[in-house]
Amino acid sequence: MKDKDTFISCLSQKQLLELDACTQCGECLKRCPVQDVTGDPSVSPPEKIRMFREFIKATDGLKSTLFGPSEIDRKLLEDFTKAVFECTTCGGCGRACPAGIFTERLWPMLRKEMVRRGLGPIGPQANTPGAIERTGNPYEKPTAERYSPWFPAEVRVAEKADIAYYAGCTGAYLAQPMVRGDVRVLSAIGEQFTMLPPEEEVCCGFPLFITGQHDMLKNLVNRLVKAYVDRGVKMLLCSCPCCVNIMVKDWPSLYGKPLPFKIRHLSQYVEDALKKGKLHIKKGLKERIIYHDPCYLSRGVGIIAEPRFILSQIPGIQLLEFERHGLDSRCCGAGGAARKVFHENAVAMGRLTIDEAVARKADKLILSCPACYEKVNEAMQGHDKQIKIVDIMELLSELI
Amino acid sequence: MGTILIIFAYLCYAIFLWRIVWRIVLLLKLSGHTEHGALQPRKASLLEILKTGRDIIFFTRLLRSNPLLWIGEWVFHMSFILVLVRHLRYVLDTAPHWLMNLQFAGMLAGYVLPVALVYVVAIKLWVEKTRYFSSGNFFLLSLLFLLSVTGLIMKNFIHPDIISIKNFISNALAFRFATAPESYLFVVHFIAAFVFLAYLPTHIFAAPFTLLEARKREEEHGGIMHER
Ligand code: SF4
Ligand code: SF4
Repeated sequence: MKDKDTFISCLSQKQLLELDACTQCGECLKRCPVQDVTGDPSVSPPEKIRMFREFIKATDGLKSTLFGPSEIDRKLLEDFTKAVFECTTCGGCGRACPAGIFTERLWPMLRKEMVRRGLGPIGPQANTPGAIERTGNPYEKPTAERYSPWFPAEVRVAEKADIAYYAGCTGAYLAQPMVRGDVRVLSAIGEQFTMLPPEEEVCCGFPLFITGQHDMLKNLVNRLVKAYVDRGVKMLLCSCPCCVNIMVKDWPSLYGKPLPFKIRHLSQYVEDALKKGKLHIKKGLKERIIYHDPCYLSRGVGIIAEPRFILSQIPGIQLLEFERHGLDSRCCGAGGAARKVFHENAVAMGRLTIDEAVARKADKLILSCPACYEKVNEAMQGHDKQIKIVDIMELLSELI
Repeated sequence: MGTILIIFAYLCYAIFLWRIVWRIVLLLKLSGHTEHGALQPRKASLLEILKTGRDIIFFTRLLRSNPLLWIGEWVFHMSFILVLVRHLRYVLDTAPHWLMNLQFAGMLAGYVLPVALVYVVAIKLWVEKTRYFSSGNFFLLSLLFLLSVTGLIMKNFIHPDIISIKNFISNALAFRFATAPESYLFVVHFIAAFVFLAYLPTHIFAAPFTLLEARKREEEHGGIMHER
């Protein structure tokens, strides 16, 4: 791919307008976790937008139309690529943006353009397609170990059922207490549920989508949808915010038509079960707990009230809030596959979450995302402030 | 001098027009491109359009994220519009009644405008100690400050000949060359105005669309996982 090639081919009209709509006001910097830990405006949203506008001008502007596209400085392209891949794609900037720019979508598309040009992704992110091809998961872990290390012996899974549970790669390999909690709670609710065998439960496509490597997406989605249809599934449950996001927002267009089943976040199903009396919380907990909204769950798909409802049903519990919560929640540093490359940023962001939870005198930090779970636990290693980190379903499974 | 000024004005105007046309061409190039997304493109409802109108007029998103800056930005934009409208009387042969009625408000806005500009810069630099201040924005704010200050000086202290200004502008609008008014302040004001036109920020045209999309997205957000 030549640097002179057009820069707009991965964009929609709306996104081109979004690039123009940026007023360079800098409001987004105050919500950007990367800014919180790097303080480097050169990787900020308005700078990324400004650079990309320059690229478009160089390849599709008046001068380029009349005299041919001009060569873009390689260093500028590399700086931009680094900036756009350093982002956690948390969408905090879009939430703060006075011009209403949907950055949660814009950044992945700019990443896709850089991948198309052979400049992205960065470092180990580039191994993702190969790893998924070989093992079905982005971590290149053995398929045989997808469920076996954590799946509770007492939980029964049906061959076919209306309800299916998708564990997801990050939960299954890197946040096992979380997925163990998920299936225990599901089992306690008592409705039959099915799961795909480990070799069939492949990656949902999110790590590929978010790093701009879209080639395999259709194939993965078609495989998964077909496998669930074959099991008679009417509702697919999942607890990973990233998986839920791509399932609900992108699977239909990748599949080519509306999905033949509903997608639900596990907390929605559990809330419903609690309300209908299908699930009872037997033990109480006299503790102060603080719940962190995963970006892709709150800003992504609007699941904000359900986890709080579940936690509020635990007798004796005192539920605290972060200063920025719900739609305004601050990224814990695990998002956008940036943690694979910009490890120090991710740890520093995770520590900001830990520090605030400790400052608010919480006994437990409750998470609801396997990537957050993995990264915040890692951030706590060697940190001077310590707090017990628990996944919401892990906690619930101990109290039912 | 008059000829040079008029050529300069048309050049700036041509740059402005080209920037608009270029954007339309780029948008047309992308007409077939759709985004991934389960939420298929849909037309905005009347309520969403009305709410977007409110978002545009009152900068509600900025109010949500930064009330302190909002007041300065809103006052600045509103006074700028009033000042612009007031200037129509220099362009129109006969000023309509409503325009004459707006003259007083426009004159007051002329005083408010530089104060609002200074307020915005002060909030960013000294109150919020912002790490990011785009050089493009700084240039535009300085240009507007220059425009408003030269305008105020001409209004209050060094009055140029209004008849010759009106004559010059109506000739310029009709593609006729004319003698420039004998006022250096006016010349600076005129040049700054056309540089501003050439550099007019693109968000003025794009933001109404992105704000409408943002409004639609926010209305849909609660239904992504909770559809009936
Ligand atoms: S998506 Fe998050 S990390 Fe990326 S630029 Fe926006 S606020 Fe910063
Ligand atoms: S908040 Fe929005 S308009 Fe302002 S600089 Fe950031 S992206 Fe641009």
